[in-house]
Amino acid sequence: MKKIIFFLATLLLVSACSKKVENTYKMNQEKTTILAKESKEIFNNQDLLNRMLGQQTVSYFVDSITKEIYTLENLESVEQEVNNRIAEYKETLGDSFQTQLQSIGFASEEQFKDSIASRIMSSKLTEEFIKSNKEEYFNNQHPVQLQYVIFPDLETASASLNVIREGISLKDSIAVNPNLIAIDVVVTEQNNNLPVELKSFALTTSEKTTSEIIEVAGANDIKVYYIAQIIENDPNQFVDEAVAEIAKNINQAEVLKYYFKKHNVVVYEQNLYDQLSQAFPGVFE
Amino acid sequence: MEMMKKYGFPALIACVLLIFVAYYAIDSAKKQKTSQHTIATKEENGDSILYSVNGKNYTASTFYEEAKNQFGNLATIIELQKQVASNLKTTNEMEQIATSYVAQARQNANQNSILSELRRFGYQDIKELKDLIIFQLKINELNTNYLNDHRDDLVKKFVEENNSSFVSHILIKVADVKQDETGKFVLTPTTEEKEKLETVLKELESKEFSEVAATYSEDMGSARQQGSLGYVDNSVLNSFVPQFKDAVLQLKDGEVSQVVETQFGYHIIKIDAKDVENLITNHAFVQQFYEKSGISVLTPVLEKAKELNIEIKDSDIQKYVDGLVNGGAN
Repeated sequence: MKKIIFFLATLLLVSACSKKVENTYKMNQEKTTILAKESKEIFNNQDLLNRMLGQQTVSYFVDSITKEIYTLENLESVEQEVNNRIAEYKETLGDSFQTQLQSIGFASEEQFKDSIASRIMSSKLTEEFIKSNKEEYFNNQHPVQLQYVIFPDLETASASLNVIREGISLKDSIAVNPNLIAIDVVVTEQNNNLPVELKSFALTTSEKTTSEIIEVAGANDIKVYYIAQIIENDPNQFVDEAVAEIAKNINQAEVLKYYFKKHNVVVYEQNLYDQLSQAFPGVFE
Repeated sequence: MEMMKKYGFPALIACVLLIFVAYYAIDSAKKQKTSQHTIATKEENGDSILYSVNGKNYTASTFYEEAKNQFGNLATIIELQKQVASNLKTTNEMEQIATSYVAQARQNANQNSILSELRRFGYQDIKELKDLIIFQLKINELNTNYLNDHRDDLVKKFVEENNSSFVSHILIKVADVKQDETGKFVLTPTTEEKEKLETVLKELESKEFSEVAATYSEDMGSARQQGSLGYVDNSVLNSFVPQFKDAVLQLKDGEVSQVVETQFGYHIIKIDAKDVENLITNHAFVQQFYEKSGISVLTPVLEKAKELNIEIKDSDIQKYVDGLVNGGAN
């Protein structure tokens, strides 16, 4: 009996002592000194590793995992697109390019390139995810291709509508007025940039038809007048545009959850796990 | 007695066992609060695996090599500060502030946010929050002491060049304001406006400026701060109307102005701090000094580290720190 109790007590003592190191991660590298006091090591590379893991690393790891997944998905290289964007930034910012990079926290152009590449990859993966689940998203979001014109007064709007009723398109009906432009958009259930009245017309009209004049009260109660035309209400006819619009408002946790499952992403680092769970609720469910 | 001999020692061991079990039960309950889910760790050739994608492992060594530039510099600076702070005395005042802060944070703040902040500074447990606060208070004290040591050279020069001060005011609005041909504002107050000004002036004879400002000032933003406009320097002064700016520049530390007329109405201005010794006691000034003087906020800690023989041995990190200090960045 005594022996059993001794054994259990020792076991518990040993596990209690080992508790201190449960959140310690290690490298198979030789120890190097980072900080020393009176020439004695007080902080080494193993300590620094664990301290680095305690920083807000979630974006870093999401980028890193995104790159792995992107490779596994065999999607087209983003290099050209990255170079184009860098060239655009350089052209716009001129000599201040490097200073601007540093001011937004990038130590080098290479780091900035990496960040852009991750963003492009992430957006392409999101679009691929929506395409893979397009029936579900098209059914829930009802994407509609819409063209509309904003008229400053009722008379001009009425004149256009009369011409449209004679069989002229919305775009051609304003050809005589250079101040007016026809705007093409994809409207979805989650699109919040359009007036409610216009969105309601787009989402409740099943025919490819032209609206009546839609009166909208803008800022300072100044009224403007819309005429809208549904160009296409079958999203399978404009898949890329519909997917791009849905991607703008998608819950990133859903996207990550899908790819984490698909490519068996397993996290073994506690802080990263906690940060991912907080930033993307449900990602590990 | 015979029973005691026979079962006494095993009973003692059983008590110890129970204490451990109880400790574990309490500890794991605490853990539930700080981390929603404890995950398993894994290694590959003595290297911790941080994550894997489709069986491909991303190890601690890879992370260290790839991300040292991004996270290692700050993490080392924090450790350096902690090492320096551990050599500084913890005062009773620091203890009291930290205890009160911890009590407030436990009630109001999100436990996960506290825990992730603690991890940034190398603490693992929520009960170490007090240690983190004391550490930060020590660093603040170190930064203030540096200013005290350089009061007559660096700080004096900074204050003179920037016209630093802390300013409060009371505003009594006047609706009818016209500008004469010389550009001067002519105020025609109503009886009510005139009476309010007289009340304020009377009140100031017996009450604190801050109390009167909070009660009567019609500049609602500053009235909520007992009339305080906070830290004022050249960049702020230039946004003031000329009459107000001139008054601030002319008044001395602690002085209250006569009534100053501007296009907004009547102002009574007080200089809360202008002399170097008073400015230094204000944490907002200390922050402004390190942000704008070109002296890095790391300078005091590096000087103290040198005194304590604490050195950065990693050449890349040393280079980064040199860049911050020499560039005057924070």
